[in-house]
Amino acid sequence: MRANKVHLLISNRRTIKFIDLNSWGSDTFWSPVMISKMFVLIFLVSFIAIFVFSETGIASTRFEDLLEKNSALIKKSSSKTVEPVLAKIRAFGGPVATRFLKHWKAKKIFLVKSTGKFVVGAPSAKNGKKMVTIFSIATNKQLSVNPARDLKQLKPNSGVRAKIASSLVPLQLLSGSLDERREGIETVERKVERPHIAPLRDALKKESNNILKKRLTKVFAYATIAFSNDDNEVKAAIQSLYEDLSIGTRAALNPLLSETIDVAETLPTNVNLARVIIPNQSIRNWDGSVQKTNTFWQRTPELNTLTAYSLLVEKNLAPNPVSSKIRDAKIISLAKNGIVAGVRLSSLNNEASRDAVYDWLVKNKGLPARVDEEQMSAIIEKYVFFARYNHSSKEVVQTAIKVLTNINRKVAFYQFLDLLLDGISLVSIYFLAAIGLAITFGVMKVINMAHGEFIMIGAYTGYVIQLFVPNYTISILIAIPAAFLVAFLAGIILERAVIRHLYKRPLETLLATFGISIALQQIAKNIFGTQARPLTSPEWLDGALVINDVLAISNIRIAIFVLGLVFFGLILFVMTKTRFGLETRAVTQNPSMAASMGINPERINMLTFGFGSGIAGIAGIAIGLFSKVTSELGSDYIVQSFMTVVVGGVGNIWGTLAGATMIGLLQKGIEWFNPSNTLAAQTYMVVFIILFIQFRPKGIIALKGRAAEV
Amino acid sequence: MSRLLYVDNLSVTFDGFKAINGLSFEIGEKELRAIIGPNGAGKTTFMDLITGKTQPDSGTIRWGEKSASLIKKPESKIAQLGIGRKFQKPTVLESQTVCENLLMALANPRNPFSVLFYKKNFEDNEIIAKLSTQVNLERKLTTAASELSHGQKQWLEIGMLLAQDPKLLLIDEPAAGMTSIERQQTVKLLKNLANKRAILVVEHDMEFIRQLECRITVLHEGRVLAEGNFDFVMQHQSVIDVYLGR
Amino acid sequence: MRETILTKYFSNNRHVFFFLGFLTLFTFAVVILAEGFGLGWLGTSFVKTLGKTLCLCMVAIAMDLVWGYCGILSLGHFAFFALGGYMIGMWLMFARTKLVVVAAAKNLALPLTEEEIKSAVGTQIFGVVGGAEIPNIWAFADILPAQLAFVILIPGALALIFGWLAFRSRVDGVYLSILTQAMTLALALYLFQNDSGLRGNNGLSGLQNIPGLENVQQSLVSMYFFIASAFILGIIYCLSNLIVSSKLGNIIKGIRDNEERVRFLGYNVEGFKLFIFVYTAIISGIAGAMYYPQAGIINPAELAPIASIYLAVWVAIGGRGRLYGAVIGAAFVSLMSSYFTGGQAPDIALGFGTLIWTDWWLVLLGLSFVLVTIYAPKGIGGVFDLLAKRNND
Repeated sequence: MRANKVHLLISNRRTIKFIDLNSWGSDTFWSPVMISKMFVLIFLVSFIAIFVFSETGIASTRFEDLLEKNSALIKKSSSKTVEPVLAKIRAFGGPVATRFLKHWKAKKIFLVKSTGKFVVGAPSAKNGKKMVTIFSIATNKQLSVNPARDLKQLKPNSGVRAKIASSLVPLQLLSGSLDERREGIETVERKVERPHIAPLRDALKKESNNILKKRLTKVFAYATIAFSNDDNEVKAAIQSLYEDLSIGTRAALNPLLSETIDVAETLPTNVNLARVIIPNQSIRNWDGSVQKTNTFWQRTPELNTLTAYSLLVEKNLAPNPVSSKIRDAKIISLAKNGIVAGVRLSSLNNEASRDAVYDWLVKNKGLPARVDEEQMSAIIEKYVFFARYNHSSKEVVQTAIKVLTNINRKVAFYQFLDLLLDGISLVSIYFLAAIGLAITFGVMKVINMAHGEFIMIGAYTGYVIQLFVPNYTISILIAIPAAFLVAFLAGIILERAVIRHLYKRPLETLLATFGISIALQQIAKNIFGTQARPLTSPEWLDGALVINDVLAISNIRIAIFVLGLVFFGLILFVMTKTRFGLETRAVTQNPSMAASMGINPERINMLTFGFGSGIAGIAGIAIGLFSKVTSELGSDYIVQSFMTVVVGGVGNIWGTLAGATMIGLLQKGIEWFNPSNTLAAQTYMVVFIILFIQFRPKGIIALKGRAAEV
Repeated sequence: MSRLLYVDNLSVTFDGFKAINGLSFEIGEKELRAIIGPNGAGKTTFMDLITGKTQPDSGTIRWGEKSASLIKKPESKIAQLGIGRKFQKPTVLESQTVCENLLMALANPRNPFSVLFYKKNFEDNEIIAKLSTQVNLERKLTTAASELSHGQKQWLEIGMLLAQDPKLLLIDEPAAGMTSIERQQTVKLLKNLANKRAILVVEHDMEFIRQLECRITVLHEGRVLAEGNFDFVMQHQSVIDVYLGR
Repeated sequence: MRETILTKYFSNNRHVFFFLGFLTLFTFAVVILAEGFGLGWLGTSFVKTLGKTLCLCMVAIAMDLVWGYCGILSLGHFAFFALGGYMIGMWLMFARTKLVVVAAAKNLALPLTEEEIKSAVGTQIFGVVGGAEIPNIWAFADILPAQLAFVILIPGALALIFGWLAFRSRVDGVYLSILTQAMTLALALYLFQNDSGLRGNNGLSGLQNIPGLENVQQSLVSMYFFIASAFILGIIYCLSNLIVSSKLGNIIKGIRDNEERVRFLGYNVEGFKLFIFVYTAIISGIAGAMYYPQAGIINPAELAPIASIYLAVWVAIGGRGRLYGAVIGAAFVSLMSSYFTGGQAPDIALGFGTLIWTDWWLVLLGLSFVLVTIYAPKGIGGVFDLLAKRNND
């Protein structure tokens, strides 16, 4: 019993990963590459600064004094303690302070161990020794080159760096350099703070670059929403975000809808009421409005008896109920020699008996009484529960709801579109994996369980070629025909050696090819090892087509879709428009008749099988590009591929397309209802397929009549 | 002569091709009937319809004294009602002995549990012995069916049908691949059998049909072209057109 | 004539007596040689392997009935096998955890209430999948007779529903194989979910600890299970032989050879297929229920579609269409597999390198499927035919 993998699972996680690439768009600027580029920029800028700013003297010496005084806090900075130092540095102001902050953030400030002074340092290596060239903070002039061990590099953690960045914002926003300003905006975009409002307003007036101005406007709106006390200003800011789909906007607007659940004897009039809550009944909508439970789509009510009652307890409106834990503790503490209220502790093995003992203790020992659920309900009845918005202005909240409604609707639309595109890429993958089978199984009626291994062979061919051809674009271009050729040859060998003997026993081809399948898998494992091998896609396939903040289509998805289309066209052409296709169909329909017409059935069978296998090899390249190449790559797809062909309708390329479309879209559709559980989606999908085959045993596109019975 | 099977206005279409097109037909009890027709006339489809293998698009098929409809009944039910079918190619259960083949066909309860606990009794043995003599296989009872000759397989299949004791026997091209002696024996056998039950023979071989000396129905393009005795049919103008080219 | 049929019947069923005799001898031999009561030549884990092999023989018999005799190449019988294992596993795990919980609560001042026991057991069992509630499907997990009934009922019911659907719409041949494979896949995928109620991919574990036998050594427990497995295998063999040698056997063989003919003889072919399908599913369930307490752990990976194909291959290698063939195939291949992949087999030094069995065994096995399928469709059982023929000559 060595059979212990459901390969599909693994494959699907991979698929998901690949599809999740759309989160890429919003994060582009924080990719490591970009950050390092930014550091280089900052570095250059600071060099220019040496020549531009030439003032030195009293001010700078005083800055160094400031540093020295706060040396301890700077050396061991933490995001909790660093603020006072930063405030002092901000107050000091000027280019020196800016320079220091920037270098500090970039981890370029060093402490000279002997003098305790701070300097700017640039690490280098000399004769294999680590060296640091140091510069004065005040003048930015080179001082000396020291061995690294004489210095201590300051490495502020990310929390501290964020604080530094925030302190830099006012300086950067008004900087003359575009990159500086962009960096400043990026900092506020991540987290806007109250002190940024004034510099933002000033910057907005001055900004000349259109793109930056747009971003500034948005960030300023966020800042207004978050910190302004003028409701009209806030409302205008909210309105200005009406068309914006970015996550930042939703994050800025959602806090306006934050609310508190409260309880009172009568409904107060002086609060910004969101809704009245009926315990055990009403359900909260996303925008804070209320919905009654209904029998068709039962959702959990917002408050149940227990949570509602605990709210009353919290407000001191009701006595604390005695929890079973407290009850049991009391019983134990009041027991003497294992006996309480005339009852043995060891007999209290159910709730009712414990309650009875406790009630006796209430009567006789004056303990607080229990509150059972019925009593709780009675008390709850006396009060009115409601939710109020934390924001005081009704109008602001309503504007926010209006804008969010619009945004959410659009986001939902794009998410649906995204799902559809996801579905289409899944369809392309299933189609690519199954299309070879559509020929060997669909047309020739040979059950080739080793089909998946041909996919694997194709993928490994690609991997091996990449070992020799380092240029990824060229190697992929070579790999596609090479994978076809290798899988084609493997297919022909299999057909000649095994399948030829079994044309009359279709069920047994299943067994024999299964044997081939496990042998090939194990051989691949012996050669390439068990760990996954990469098949790297060329760089131009790494990007994504960004439509908006919600929707981005990764290029690899597009490429696979195009590949699927090309293959569909190609195979359709080969099977219907060429001599080879004609002969293949003739041989599969009536071999003896075809033979008497001068066609060599043996040759055609061999070539057809090779053709189907070769296509599988190319599919291997496509699949290998977005998932890693392992020896189990093929078996991940085999069951689904068979289902695709059967559901679509055997003996028909269009059927395979229909099958892949149905299975792929259905799976994504089911996932949409329960996105966290792709396993469930697959389960339901397979169950659906089983049921579907019951009602359409011949598949979606079925051949009818006598032809079907051949 | 009372009516056994009655078919009215039967039609079935495969992918736009009308295999049976408004066919009406009837056969009486203990009648011997031959059906002829060129390729694609719908002979086999007609048998498929009667035995429930194919469902008609429209029309009625009624059976027996009570004129019960056969449409939508499963094949096994129809077989149990008393319609036996002999295929064109001899279809016997090759891996089993002649005796086992016949035993399976005997008119005994046919649900899984009664066959699991079935014990062969004296009467059944007698019936099998008689049947095997009737189809000239009494010496081959313990031989596996796969070892029989082609003609013997045909007989075994007929023997199995007889064991079912059907009221109507559908026989598809019984003479195909038989030697002329076997053919004559078959004619004799069929005539003999028709004494007790109705028989519907589909055949291409005119000589064979002539020897059967029975009523003949000519099918063409899914409907009845002509019906009558051998000489009438042979001289019918449209039959000549269809068979000899127009 | 009557006599010849009778003698033929006995000569046909000689293998039952041979088989039962061999099984009895084998059981005695193992009992004598094992650690449990005997000389101690066979280790406990080896006895467990033998016991498990006997269970695999049971499910191989089921496969042989459904495929070798009835012609349905089911790739779903390992799903029934695993379901049987899950059913008994639920009781084993629940009852054992309950004992542990109660024992741990011995020193508490207050004895645990039913609810407290339940919630403690729930936390113990379902903590790994982030739950504490006991799912509804565990409602009877505390009741051994109920779970024992489920060992039969659940695989039986699944086979009944699935078979009824599939046979009713005349799905057969390759399509049926793929459909059964899809069923297995669906079940495996379902069980892999954490909220399946059966602990997701953790599966059920600790099944070798039989509640009520805590104080009995594993070497003895393994003996009990070995003997019970042998006994049940014997019963299943006889029962299955009863079926295949009856008229029912003739009919299902008829269905395999020529479904149409049997149908036009007036037999409800679908009903017979369903009967065999359900019967074999139940055998598989029982086999699984005997297997997993010896294996100690069951998880959804066990019922991957590939397992059922292996099952078909065992039967093919042993020789289908004969019950002893299935038993020989399952025993031979699974014992060989555990020998070669267990690392006990000596590596073979070739001129250019070393043949490491753990690496190359699967290749050898795979190629042997191919050779058997092409050149020896009767499998190992075919050898017996040759021997019998020589005896007759």
